[in-house]
Amino acid sequence: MNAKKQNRNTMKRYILFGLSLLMAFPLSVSAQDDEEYDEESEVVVKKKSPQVKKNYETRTVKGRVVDAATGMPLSGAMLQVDDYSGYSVLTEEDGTYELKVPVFAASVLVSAPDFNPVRLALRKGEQQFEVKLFSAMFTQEYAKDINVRSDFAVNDFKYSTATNIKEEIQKQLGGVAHTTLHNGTNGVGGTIFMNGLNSLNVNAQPLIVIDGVPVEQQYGRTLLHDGMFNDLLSNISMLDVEKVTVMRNGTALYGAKGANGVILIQTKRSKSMATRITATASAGVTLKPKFIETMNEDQYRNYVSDLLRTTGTKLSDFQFLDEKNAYYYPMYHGNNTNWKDYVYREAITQNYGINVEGGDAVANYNLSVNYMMGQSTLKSNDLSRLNIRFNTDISLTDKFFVRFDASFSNQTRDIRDDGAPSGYDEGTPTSPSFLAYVKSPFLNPYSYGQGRFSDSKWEITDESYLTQALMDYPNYNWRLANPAALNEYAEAENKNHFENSLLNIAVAPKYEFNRHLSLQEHFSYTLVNTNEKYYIPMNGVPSYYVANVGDEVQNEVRSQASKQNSVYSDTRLTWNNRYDEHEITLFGGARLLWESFNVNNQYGYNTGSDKTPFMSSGLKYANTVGETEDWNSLDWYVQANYNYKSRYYLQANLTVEGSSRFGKDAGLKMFGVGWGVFPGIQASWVASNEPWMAEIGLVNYLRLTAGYDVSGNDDIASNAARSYFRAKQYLKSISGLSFDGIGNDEIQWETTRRFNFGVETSLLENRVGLNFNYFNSTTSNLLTYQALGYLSGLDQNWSNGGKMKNNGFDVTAIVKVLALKDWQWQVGASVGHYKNEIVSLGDGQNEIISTVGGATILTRVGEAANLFYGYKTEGVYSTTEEADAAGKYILGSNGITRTYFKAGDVKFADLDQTHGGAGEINEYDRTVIGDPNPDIYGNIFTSLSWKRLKLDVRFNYSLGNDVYNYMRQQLESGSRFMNQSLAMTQRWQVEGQTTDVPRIAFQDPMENSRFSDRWIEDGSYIRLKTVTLSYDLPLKSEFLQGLQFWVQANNLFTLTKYLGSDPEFASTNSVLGQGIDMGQLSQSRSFVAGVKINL
Amino acid sequence: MKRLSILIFSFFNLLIFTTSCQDFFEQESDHIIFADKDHLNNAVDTIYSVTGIMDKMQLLADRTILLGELRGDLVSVTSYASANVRQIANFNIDDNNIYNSPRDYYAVINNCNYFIAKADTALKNNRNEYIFMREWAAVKAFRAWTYLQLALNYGEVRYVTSPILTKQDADREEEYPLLNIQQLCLELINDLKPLVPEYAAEYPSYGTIGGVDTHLSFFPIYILLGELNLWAGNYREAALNYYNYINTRNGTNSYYATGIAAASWGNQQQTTWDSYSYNTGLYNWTSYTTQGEAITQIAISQEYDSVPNPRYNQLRSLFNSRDDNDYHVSITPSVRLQEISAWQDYCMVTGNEGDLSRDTIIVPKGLEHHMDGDLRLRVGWYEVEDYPGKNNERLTTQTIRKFSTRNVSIWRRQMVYLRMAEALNRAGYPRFAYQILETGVNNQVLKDSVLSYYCTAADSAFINQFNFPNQLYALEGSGYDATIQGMHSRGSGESRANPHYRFPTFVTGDTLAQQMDSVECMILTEGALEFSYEGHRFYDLMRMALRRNDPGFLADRVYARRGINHAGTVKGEIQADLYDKKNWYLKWNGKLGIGK
Repeated sequence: MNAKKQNRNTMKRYILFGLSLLMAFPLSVSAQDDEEYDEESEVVVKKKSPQVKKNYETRTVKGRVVDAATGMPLSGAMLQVDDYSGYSVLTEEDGTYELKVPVFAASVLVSAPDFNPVRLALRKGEQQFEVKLFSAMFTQEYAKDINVRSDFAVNDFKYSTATNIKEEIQKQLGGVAHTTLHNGTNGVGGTIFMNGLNSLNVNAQPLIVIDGVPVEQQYGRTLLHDGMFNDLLSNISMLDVEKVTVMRNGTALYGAKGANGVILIQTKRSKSMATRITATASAGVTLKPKFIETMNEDQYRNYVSDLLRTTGTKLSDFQFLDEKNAYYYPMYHGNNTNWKDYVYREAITQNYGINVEGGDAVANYNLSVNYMMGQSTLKSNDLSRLNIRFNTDISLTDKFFVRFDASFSNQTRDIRDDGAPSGYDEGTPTSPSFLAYVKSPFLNPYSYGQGRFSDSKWEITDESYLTQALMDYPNYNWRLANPAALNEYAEAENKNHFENSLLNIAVAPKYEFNRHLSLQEHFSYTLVNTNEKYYIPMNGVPSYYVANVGDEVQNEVRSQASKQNSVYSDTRLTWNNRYDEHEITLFGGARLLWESFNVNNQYGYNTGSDKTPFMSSGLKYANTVGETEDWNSLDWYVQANYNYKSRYYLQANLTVEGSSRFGKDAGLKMFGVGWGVFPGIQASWVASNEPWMAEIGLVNYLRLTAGYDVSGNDDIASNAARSYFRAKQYLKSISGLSFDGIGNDEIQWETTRRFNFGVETSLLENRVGLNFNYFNSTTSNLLTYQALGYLSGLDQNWSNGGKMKNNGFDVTAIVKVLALKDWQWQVGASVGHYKNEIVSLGDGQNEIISTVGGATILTRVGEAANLFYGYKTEGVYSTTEEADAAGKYILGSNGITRTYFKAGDVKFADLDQTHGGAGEINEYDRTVIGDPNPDIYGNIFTSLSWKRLKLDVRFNYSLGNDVYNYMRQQLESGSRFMNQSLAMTQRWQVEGQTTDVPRIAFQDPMENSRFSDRWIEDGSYIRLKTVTLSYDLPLKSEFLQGLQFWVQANNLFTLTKYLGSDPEFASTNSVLGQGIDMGQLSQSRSFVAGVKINL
Repeated sequence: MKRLSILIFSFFNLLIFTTSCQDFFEQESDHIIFADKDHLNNAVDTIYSVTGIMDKMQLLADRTILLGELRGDLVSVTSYASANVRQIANFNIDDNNIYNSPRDYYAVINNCNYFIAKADTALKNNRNEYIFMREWAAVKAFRAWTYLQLALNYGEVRYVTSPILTKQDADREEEYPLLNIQQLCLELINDLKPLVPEYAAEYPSYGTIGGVDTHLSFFPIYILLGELNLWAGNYREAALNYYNYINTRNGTNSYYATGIAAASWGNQQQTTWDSYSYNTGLYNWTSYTTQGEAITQIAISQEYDSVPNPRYNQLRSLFNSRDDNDYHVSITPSVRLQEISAWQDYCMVTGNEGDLSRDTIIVPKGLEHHMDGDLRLRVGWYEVEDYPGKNNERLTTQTIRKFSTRNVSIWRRQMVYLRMAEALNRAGYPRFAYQILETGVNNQVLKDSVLSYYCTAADSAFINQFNFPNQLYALEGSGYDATIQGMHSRGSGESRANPHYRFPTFVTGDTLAQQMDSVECMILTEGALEFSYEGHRFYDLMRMALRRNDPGFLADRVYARRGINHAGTVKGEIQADLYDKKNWYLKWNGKLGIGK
């Protein structure tokens, strides 16, 4: 409780601070522009240098612009010649225009307020086809510039309730950037894989560039709490985001950082000199998630007494079984508790923002302050976040401009472990969400005394109903914590708490020597601070054995603090000019990046009391570990753009990158260090601008793009290139320095060579839009942890070796089904697909087998990188006769003892007969049992608007991906004294019983619950992700310029055969380990209502 | 303004060019030390590097014992033994066996090589003494011992003496010479010889670390030279080096006698044969004293700290019934060991000298609990029958007293004496060797029982280099407090009086060679009785078999592990043909090991 109060106080402080910042600027409310211009059409405001019109030879074109819905002529629509500035005209009252265009010009962009712009290819003659403009209620299809690289951008986040931008990327860019949210916790973000899987062992997620600065995302860093991910994009408020661009091709520009694709995020800048104030408020409720059904008290009691028989205990009387006992036991053990009631709840979320923009001839600014507070449906996981962002553009002289941006965000959250534990040797389960599943339902959450259960005091005595039976298992963690008590006693800012702040300051001075030449320096400093406190209370949690320290402990405290300092400098010289039909733009420069990451970790056991949750060196087994990683890189880059007749476009990139992470003999040797060279070329042909095609007029727009890029992945462990010593404790008391790393002089980036081909087209008078992108790439020099020569004395280090292929496509189509005066209806869908294949592996290996969270992952030449590799099962032996006839056995660790499978055990397929004796089930019998990569993924969306009312519906889907349901494995292993899923009532119990669920056995001696196809499920789903109903109130008051309302429902329903609670999750950021369901909080239905006020 | 922007641009470019590219890309860290920095010129890092090497040696401790013992004939594995352990006993150690990893030896060697190459040995203190020379010598000894272990197990080594600092260097293994045991020993002898006598007895003194006396953490160079020479076949050199250790153990003018600890029948007037006594000193080697048994051990960890690591620390659980193995041991004394023990005759002399009742008694055969032979077996191996285990399983528990601590004993005093005996025997002085077994040696014994047999000037000159002053190396009844005894007396009573324990004589052709072969077998037997479970046996068999050029000497004994009459069964289990020397050695991934 105390912590919450403190939270509120901190929050108040922030808001006061924000308000005082606001006061620092004149709050002059003045008339604002009514029209919603898109960003590009307002460049006029920014560029105050007069546009000089060259005296090109011109010709006259004529035509008419009409409203597509009504066919009525549009007056005041603007026509601008593409690629030539200074040639524009407005339509007359009858919608007609007459425009002088340079003879080389091929197309014009037609735009009008409340309508989406349209590109019109020019015919040879004077008279042009009629232009039909569609309402801005539709998704906009044409941008100002020709999309040479086939980028894909979205910029409509008006009614977004997302905490993390990835939620929007998933909703709006479904097939383009394959996005999977980590879990249902607010703001934990997710994974994005673009263009397939471009790395095996290191980061495979795209480079994030925010306002021109690549921001290190810390994907590989671990946190203390299970189920938590520190997604740095959660530091950006959706209210501040202007535009998100997915850059699939042309990534050579980003050198050794671009191989996984690039996502460019642009935050809002001021567009007008008039001051505009926008206030946004929204609030919502999130419902409890769906659960896997577990057994009730009687079923569980039955399960326990069955399982007890397999422990070897000689006892037969147990208090929890004795319902007639005169003492209090029957009551004590006679409850039917639904533990989920104590752990989950309906959650409230709130989001507030104020945005002020404005400026004058000298300076433009955009200031925003946002505050959001999101409860989690899982108690004690609430998030609050404050964002302040201040973006300015200053013109010091007519040639010297400075961009100055500053932003700060702070997230704090209450936090607990979430999801199933990866094992039980290092402690007892401490995740309330998991405990709510497995804690015995016949126990009561409240303490018992004086003949009754308390109604306020939690039960904090350790479970004891199995004490007598499990006496001979001293180091076996069978007692389960009381999740309700755990939540209470773990609650405090110095116990379980997460805080993250991100500060960024950017200064970008730019000097324009003349119309053609400019020099810009972009300097940015980013600081990311993360603090996490972890505490297991004594009350409510039993003492537990920790194998790592070889002792039983009472409780545990951990803390982790990390700091990432990034300094970035980009110096760039830009030149452009046009020579009649030739236009050339060149820029080049140097990017410097200094990164420093520092983390300190402390832990200790037995704090003595929950009132003293302090970390100190006096704690039992107290230890401090830390890591400093500094790295930097220097890129020399150049980009050349060439455009011929607005039909043929060429973009060439070249980046030469050096990095402290590279070995000194890597790549190209210059100046004593190794450099990577990354060339790329993209060519586009706008076929619709060919006069012969414009003449036909059938195809409104057609662009074909092809390109080839070489880019890299520099996510090399920062010490891989050098040999180093690390101190370890010798005899637990003194430092011992010994080699901990043997450097690889040749270590280098992974190289991805990608060919791409794309089509963008608009047909049927712009009613149908289609965007297609195909890629085919090879990634070589895969970074793998390879064996070092044995003479080094160390096992492994990072090396380059191996190759993989990816190919795939994405296609997005939008159809305007209905375009009437008051009604607009559009339908669209996107489909993404990739196929990943390992071509070779380093070290001459044919396969690599890795273990991730209980799953075995196979990486084998000729197959996808991350397949599930386990045993095939064929049901359960129904009778002893059947089991004996099969004669299958497992070999003991001594290599001699054979233990045969009996009736009730799982029939594992004996696929391999060459290793071990006949009938032996061993690791050679494993095979590929699943593939977590989807066949297709994407989204389906439709929007229907009537006047100013708009209904927007979005589905997202993933088909053909397999899931390892680890959570279900935990709930159906039948080997521990934990409550199990309802399916376990079907377990094999009597000779002759036919069932798919094997017998239960304490500690699972036959390993019936091993990683097998029993736990692999089809994870396909289609989900109604979002339904938004919005209304834009036509208000023309002096004080109120506009008012928008919306209501939104999320995750309304999910169609899936998946047995877990949610088919969408990502329990890791890495490629190996996708598709493993750790049972973390699932996404659930939420309803939000919001209002936006323009002052 | 134009100037300003040019200034900014040039500033950043200046940054790039003023610092050279190497410097720019070279990073520092608080948590690790880069190998290209000179950190071995300060005392703290130098000492921590020595402890770092000791830390790496911990991984070798278990396998030093297991590889040396399990392949011999003195122990058998039980059905509870893991595949890792069983494979050793059956000579079919695969590449994945956790004890088959040359890499772990090179982890020690590479750290040693770095230390030897980089330690600032020229640094002197204000008393003009070299500061790090003792460390330097100690590290050379670490390296030599590690190389010797590697060679004994694999039959060959890649001999690397400079640190490997890059992956590329490590991959060029073919460029390093491949040495066999003999070649390696010669190299190492040359490496270590310059260090004696200056650094022979001087070790870095680090006091107690984690409750373990660091005196015991080092490898005395004289013993190493003794071992290397013994393997190389330089027997005189070997004997002298062992002697030098004895003679200088506690500095000059010191003595290091065998001691009189023994397992013995407690009652001198024995009528019933059911009790025995033993001196606790017999199996208590963990502390360092000037006359203590312990010489070198690999310290593992404190007793109260119980963090298990599957790759070390396992010996106690393998040999002893404990909670953590559910009282199931993996290794037990073999039938062969019981036979060897039973073949010995325990001899008691009752009554005082001159008494009428004075008598020499040989303990009768057929006693229970292995008490009818050498008592060391009974004392070191303790069984409890019908013990209630987990889930009321009734079982027989076993305690091997030599594994009462986590620290792993490598060398001890009796070993030095026995190896000296082996060297002397092969140097042509079997009577000298024999006296070490029977009476213990001092100058009087040498004069009475040795010198008279070796009359040439050269022999006398050689023997006279061994000086064991009678008052310091005192026999019982010599007028001094006894400090020595024949090693055989440690378990078989009064060997001097034992009519069955005599220097071998031959009816026909009593040649020196025959004497030497016979005494060598007595030494081998003594080693079995004294050093069972300690990981010496296989190497003893190997050394003698190689020396005799008789693989059967090893093979027949190993096949007789389950008793002389069960050689066939054992042959079936082992499969590998031990008459072929190649099969004695481990192989690893086709990269190391004779017969790879």
